[in-house]
Amino acid sequence: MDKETFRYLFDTYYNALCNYACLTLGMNDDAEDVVMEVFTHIWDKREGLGDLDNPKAYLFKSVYHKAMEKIRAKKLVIVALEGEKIVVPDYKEEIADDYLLKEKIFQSIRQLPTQCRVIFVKSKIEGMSHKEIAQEMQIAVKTIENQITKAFKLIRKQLNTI
Amino acid sequence: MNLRDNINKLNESDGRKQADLIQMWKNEASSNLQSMKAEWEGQLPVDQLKGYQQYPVAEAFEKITTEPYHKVVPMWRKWAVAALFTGLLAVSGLYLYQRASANVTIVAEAAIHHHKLNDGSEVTLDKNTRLDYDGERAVAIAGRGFFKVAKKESGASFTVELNKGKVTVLGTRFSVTSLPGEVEVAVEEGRVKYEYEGRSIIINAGERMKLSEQDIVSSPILSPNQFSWSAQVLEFKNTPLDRAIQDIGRHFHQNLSLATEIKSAGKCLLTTRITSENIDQVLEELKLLFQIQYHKSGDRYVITSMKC
Repeated sequence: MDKETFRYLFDTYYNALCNYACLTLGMNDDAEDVVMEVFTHIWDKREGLGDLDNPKAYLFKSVYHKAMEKIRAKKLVIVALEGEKIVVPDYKEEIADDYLLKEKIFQSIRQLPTQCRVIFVKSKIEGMSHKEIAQEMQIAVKTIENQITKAFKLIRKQLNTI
Repeated sequence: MNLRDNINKLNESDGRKQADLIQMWKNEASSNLQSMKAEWEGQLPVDQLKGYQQYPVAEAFEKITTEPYHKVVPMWRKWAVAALFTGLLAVSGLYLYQRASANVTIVAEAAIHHHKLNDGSEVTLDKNTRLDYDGERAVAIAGRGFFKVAKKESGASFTVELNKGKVTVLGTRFSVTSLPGEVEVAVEEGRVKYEYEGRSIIINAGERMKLSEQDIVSSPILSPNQFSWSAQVLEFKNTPLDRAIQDIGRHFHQNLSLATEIKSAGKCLLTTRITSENIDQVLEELKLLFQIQYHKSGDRYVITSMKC
């Protein structure tokens, strides 16, 4: 595998994998470590390694197994508020696709103009009502509606060009 | 025609037919346009993005792909390096010797003890607690301690060695219990790292970690009295008595429990402020309030009956 291919894999998958590992481990510090370990392994072995047939499955599976290894090694028991154990879902292709789509949308949102992005995040991700946003930002409800429509349009455009 | 049928038709037909269909459909009604928009927005899982974050991708890439720098070193340089290394070793030995000589041991025996360390950090030690201090940013503790660690501009971390494991922090407020059968770390502010036998866990504000057998178990702090012992004030406001009993036990670091026959303790509510120095005074107060009866065997207190 050459450096360009490695770079491409890294740029495409790194952030989505960190977020996926974070879900699996419930802890940020370890999430990055796990993904770094997987990529370091590929980098070190890149000369003997051809191009991966199915990089998506390879990367997500590796991260999943590394994360589970960590959980087992640490004998971690992550307990939720109600005292029940958090169950980690097994690797599935749909989960990987879901994370890659989330990553694309996330990157598109990051590229929105500032006001548009702030309103979109407050409304669609943080779940605030239009009225609450209007009060907090001192703007008209109509402006909020317009900005959200604009945000969806821009995100859609971004997604289509990827 | 409903939206689903339209989409299915679109998927089945080729490019030109698709364009015609869309045009036809668009002409049908503007309400269709609205539902098309809703369909499209519905497909984007934006509401699932909560907690999704950006990690430092570029830094990670640099870290992985920068290879160690290899170069042939002339012989005389190797000798110079060796000499320098020996010198350093001698100096660091001297330094370590000096550090060792700066060790301080503080023992709180009969009363809770507040102490200010050289680096500006403050520590409260429970009765029967021993603290060994290296004079800088490292302590070892046996017993129970509450720390307010001063943050250093240099970023130097502060470490607390426990009976089992080690806690590393930068600047924060937390308590530790370090006894042969009991290891607990609870964080009031900031976050700390707990390490034990090659495993590590980050404990955030409002969380506590207990070592149970060999498992590291973390859970949220539910009681407002988690750190009450260090301030020596225990406060209850309409607290169910079974919870209050747990808090009182933790506060005085005594094994206090309700006999299993008592089922109604959750219905009794307690509102009071306790500044007593020992558990017997508190139990006397509960005797007046709830007519409790208790017995003591060894270091265990068991409440055997009560009335609300």
